[in-house]
Amino acid sequence: MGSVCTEVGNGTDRRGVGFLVTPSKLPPGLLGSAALFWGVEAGLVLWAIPSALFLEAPRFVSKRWSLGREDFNRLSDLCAALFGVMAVISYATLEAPEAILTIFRFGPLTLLPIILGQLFSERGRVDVSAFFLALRRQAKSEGISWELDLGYPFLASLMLGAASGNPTGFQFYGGCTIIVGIALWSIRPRRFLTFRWAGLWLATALIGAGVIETIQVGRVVIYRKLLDSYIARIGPRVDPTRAPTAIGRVGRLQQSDSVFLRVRPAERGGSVPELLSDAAYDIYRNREWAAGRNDFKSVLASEPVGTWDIAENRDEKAAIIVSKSLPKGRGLLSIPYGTHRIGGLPAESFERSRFGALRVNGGPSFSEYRASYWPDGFSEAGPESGDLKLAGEEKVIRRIAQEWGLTKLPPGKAIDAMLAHFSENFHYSIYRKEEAGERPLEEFLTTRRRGHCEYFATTAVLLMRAAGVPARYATGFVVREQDRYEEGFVVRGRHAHAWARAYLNGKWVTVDATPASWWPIENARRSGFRPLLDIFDWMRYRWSAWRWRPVEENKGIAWWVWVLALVAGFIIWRNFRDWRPQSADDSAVFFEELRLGLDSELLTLEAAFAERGDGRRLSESLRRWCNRKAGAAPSADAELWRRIGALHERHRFDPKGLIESERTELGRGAQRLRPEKVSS
Amino acid sequence: MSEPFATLKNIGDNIRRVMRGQEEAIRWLLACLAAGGHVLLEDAPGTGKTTLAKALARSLGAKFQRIQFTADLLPSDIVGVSVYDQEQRKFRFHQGPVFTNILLADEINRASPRTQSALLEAMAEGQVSVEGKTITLASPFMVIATQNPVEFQGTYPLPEAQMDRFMMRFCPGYVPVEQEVEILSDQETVHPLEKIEAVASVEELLAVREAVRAVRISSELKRHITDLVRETRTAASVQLGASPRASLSLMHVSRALALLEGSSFVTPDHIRECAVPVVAHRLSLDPQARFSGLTSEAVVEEILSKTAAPA
Amino acid sequence: MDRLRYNTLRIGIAVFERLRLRLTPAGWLILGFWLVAGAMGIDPTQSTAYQAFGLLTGIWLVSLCSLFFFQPRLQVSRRLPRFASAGEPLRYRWSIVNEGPELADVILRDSVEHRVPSYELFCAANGYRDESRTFVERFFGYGRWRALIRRTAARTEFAEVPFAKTGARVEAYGKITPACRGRLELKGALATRVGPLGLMRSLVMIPVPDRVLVLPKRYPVGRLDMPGSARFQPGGVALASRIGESPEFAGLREYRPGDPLRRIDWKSWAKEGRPIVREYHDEQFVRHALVLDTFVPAAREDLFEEAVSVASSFAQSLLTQESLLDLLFVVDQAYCVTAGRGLGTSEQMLEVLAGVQRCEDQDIATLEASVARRRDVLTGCIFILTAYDEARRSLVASLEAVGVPTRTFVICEPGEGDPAAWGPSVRRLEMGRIAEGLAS
Repeated sequence: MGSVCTEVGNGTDRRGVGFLVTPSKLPPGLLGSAALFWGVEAGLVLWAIPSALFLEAPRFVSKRWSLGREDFNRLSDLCAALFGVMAVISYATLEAPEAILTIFRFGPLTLLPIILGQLFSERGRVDVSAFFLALRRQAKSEGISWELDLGYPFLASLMLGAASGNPTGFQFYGGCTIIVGIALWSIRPRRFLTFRWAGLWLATALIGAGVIETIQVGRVVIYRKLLDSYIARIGPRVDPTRAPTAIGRVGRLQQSDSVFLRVRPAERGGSVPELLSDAAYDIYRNREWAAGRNDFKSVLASEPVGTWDIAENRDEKAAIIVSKSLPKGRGLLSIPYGTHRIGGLPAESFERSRFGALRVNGGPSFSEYRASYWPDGFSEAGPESGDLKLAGEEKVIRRIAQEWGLTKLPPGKAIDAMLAHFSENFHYSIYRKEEAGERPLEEFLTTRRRGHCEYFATTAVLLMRAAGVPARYATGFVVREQDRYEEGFVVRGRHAHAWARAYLNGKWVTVDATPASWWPIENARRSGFRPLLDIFDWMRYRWSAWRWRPVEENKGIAWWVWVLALVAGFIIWRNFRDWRPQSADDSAVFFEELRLGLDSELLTLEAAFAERGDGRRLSESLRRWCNRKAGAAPSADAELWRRIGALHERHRFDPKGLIESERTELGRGAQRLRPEKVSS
Repeated sequence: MSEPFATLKNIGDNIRRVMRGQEEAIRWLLACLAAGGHVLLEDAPGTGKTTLAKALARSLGAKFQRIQFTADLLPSDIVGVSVYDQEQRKFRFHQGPVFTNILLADEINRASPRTQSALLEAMAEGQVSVEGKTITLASPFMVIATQNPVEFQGTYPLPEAQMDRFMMRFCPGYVPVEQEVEILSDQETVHPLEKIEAVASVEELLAVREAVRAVRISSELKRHITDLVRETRTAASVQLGASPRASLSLMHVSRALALLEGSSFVTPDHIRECAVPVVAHRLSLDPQARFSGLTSEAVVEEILSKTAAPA
Repeated sequence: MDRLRYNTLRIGIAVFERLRLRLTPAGWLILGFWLVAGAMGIDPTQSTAYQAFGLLTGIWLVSLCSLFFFQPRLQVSRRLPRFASAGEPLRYRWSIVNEGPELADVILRDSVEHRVPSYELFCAANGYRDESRTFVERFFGYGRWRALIRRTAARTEFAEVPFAKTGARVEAYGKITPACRGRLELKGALATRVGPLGLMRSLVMIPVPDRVLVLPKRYPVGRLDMPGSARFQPGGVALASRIGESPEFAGLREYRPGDPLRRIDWKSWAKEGRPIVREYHDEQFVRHALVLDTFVPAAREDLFEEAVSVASSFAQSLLTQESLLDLLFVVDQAYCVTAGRGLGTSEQMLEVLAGVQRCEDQDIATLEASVARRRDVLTGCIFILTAYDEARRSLVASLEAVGVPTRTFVICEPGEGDPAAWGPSVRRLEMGRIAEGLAS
């Protein structure tokens, strides 16, 4: 179709004469089949079938519209709006990696308007300025900038969409190879015959498969090597996934005012425990508390989904609901002592240490879990030898213990005496980083006599051990502040706390050595902006809670989706209400009637040669081409070439035309000179 | 049809006896003669332009006049002047050299534009008005104008709007070395121009022109001609493109070329072959482009190369 | 900070240019596709994008291998026209003889030396030569870079070479758009061919040195009403070129032997009965001067370029108006070039202007002397100045004092200069808006 019209220029004429550009080179049916492939792979067949039909319709329907730059700008805006809405919906309902994949999956749908615009337009190309606001201004003043055939990028988006769907199997590779192969074949340089090119493509596909295999194997090897080297560096006995806690960690937490947890009773009017603990440690070394022999055992899930039974079959006496954010879906839960069941926390795995710490893996980034507990129960393992060990600064501890007479008293009395000493002679001071010296505990106990909760807890544990009481060090939070916007309590960073656990009379009890003045001192530190920031914290909490609400609530499409759709539909209607694209006029049709002799066999003969790159040049007439071929052909055929060249010329351009015999001579001659018979 | 073909062939052969190695120029000249238009030859001095014109005139047995244009030539020197005859006490009109069949206007760009326009008006109208009276020129009337290329000093190039009057413009050019040697051999004793005789008459020339008008041309090719000429109007760097007169000239000249080959219909090769000599000189280029080294021939060649030849 | 910008731009743009030569548009698309698939495919359990990544890596490997199969042997020459104009495309023809294997799908591109702007120029352009379109471009300094490159680089376009068997001779059309005046050195031709998958191009450089003279850029000039009537400048009938511009008819007188017969007035003879001859005075015509100010400091090279462009624009337009034009300027000495009316063509004057350089060692007194020498024969004078200080003011005033009407054009930065204080015959042309200034 393109050979009739004059192919002048390349669109840079500023006078804007509407000449035709070469039509798209996409082979017929490719877009449609790619759309169906996408539908099958991405699981969106119901969307894919009508899309495929629309994409192939231009082959059968000849109606076209003359769409200008303004029209394409509108379509591009529509696509951007659809894309934005889809991105918001994905992000609101899914986690980050899946959200991105969903965006790719549905991506081609949002691009449909503009690709259909191109296919049904007269020009068959889209100006790049439709996609970039900065270019639109420039294009308006200077004229057409750069035109693009969107068919190929759309194919790429279909492939990416298909890739985001089905994660297994190699049928994606097969389909992708075929479709990308056909697309590249359509733009191959003319000198390559289809057969040779197909062979090359087959080789490429095999190399690609080889690359995939190499990547897979390489990935496994690299990962294993990395893991080996990491373990080798740290040491064999320590569990790499459980880090020790240095003195100061809680102090650093206490510097933040933002809300870490929200706690409320599961039943209205229920009670809430004072302390929530998240971890416990027993080995003190180098100003660090570590948990030795920290075997986390996994807990089996039970019914319904998200429920984990820690101790068998106990009835619920009290329960609280804790809202906590778990970055990457992993972390320790803050729970009251005596927790026997956790509910409302769907996760991949759930583990419990012998100290009673609960660790979750593969859970949601934010969760509101229900902790059912027995108020005076405990769920830690009994004391072991480690709970009595003293280390580092042992001498000082023993001396103080002696001084305070702890070693002589029975365990209960010793604890009381120690607490009395602490409250009378020691003061609470806010954590400061520079405080830790060479022998911090000695300093604390003898000279300074002031420090923050971690010092108090550490020395309490060590002193009790010196007095023969098994003790452990515990960290967690204190629940005391009421929530202003919700029912329940807020727990801030400031409320992080460390205390001691002592084994007394066959039970583990909490021994909090920090003077009571610590609470008002810490709370006095809040900044003036706190009320304002609290509001933001609360809004974020509300958003997270809604976002991570349990799945059972989902019965079909939520109401807000309908509202969003209505609003979007209204905006679109407003924008496009007065859009009347002009239909293209068909002046090309009138010209078709003027041409004579289009049935000449020489035309098809020339087309066959053109396939091999040996066709006539644009400005060369067929007669000249025949003479050229005659020059290069063996003498037997040269005469024939010249003869059919002359005959064809008469047939096409002489109004009188050819006589019968000459007409058949032309046909027969063209037959004889077909490329298969002629060598090269 | 064969008679006019023979006539043209004879004239051509006759001219070839005088002009060596100027095949293309002779071909164009004959085509223009058959099509009934005027020719502008453009070349450096001494390349045989005058000889060509004289040879043509002598082959036809037609009246031949020559005007050498100089800087002080007046229009009356071309058209003629009314002279007062004292005896008869009347004004008598002395016809100027323009009243002839073949007029050679040598170095037309040396004269002032005032004088140039006098000749060009005569060419356009086919008649001359002098003191209220209109006198028609002879038929056939053909002007062969020569021009030095514009680079040389002291010249006044013809304005492009006036160039439209010439059907073709081409450059004979220097001949290949063998032919140049033959020229020397030819003119050793006497100029070959002296020896040629008329081989056709004016009536036969008129018959040739009739035959040209009978050559067939298909609508598709007419459309192709108009497409080519329209492209010159929208081509970049062209201030003023070719007018419909260019399309007419192109059609006439292609038909004449077809007749020269003995064909009875026009083919796309004929059109494309003569497009540059017929159309290029009618284009007025943007001054910026002119100084970029762009020539109107280049513009027409580019249009030809970018337009698909009808297959 | 600027140093960092400069280095980033230099390296980044060099890489980008190489990629642009190597990759076809399809290649860019596949590159983007490959990167996105790679990013998505890092985790093979989430999606099958890693398979697409593998396929595309295979495509790159095959494309890279096929680059080495292009080994043409060509003899290439250009047919260049005499001149080019700055900012206008120069079209020329390539003549190619193929001595090697069959040529198909080959594209030829001219190779012009690329001059990277120096660091000093880059810093100096800060603030006043910036073509940034968006905030990002301004932040990275790309707008400045583009303005500097635009001033010196020539833009080449590719030419398609038709199919040629061994031993064939073919032609192709090339196009270059030079950016600044002077001599344009062409190094050679770059023959490129797209690989089998249509993504990457093989490049072979063929040295074909050539040079073209580039005339200065010219702006369209509005109708310039030059005041000044024809005074007694002798010219003669030879230079009369307009109808109506005839030699002055002085009167009739008796025929004297020796008078040319053409001058006889026949009607008078009829009346008088004896030969009467028409008498003419010699022809008058108009002579203008175009004075170009070459006294510009080295840092304001761009002002000088614009002055030359304005001078060329006037030269071109005035020379069509049937008057003589004297171009006066000083480089190492005072020069005067005359053109018009058959004495010289505008091409010659533009050739001269293409090579004019700034004046280093002379001062404006030389120019004053040269102008003063021609005071008596000038009808009018156009001054093209790059500043309007005392010396130049007196230069203009010296001509006006003698009664020669002048028009002065001063080229300056926007915001510089005080037009009110300069007077009505002085026109201000702002850098960057010269075309508008001249058109009005």
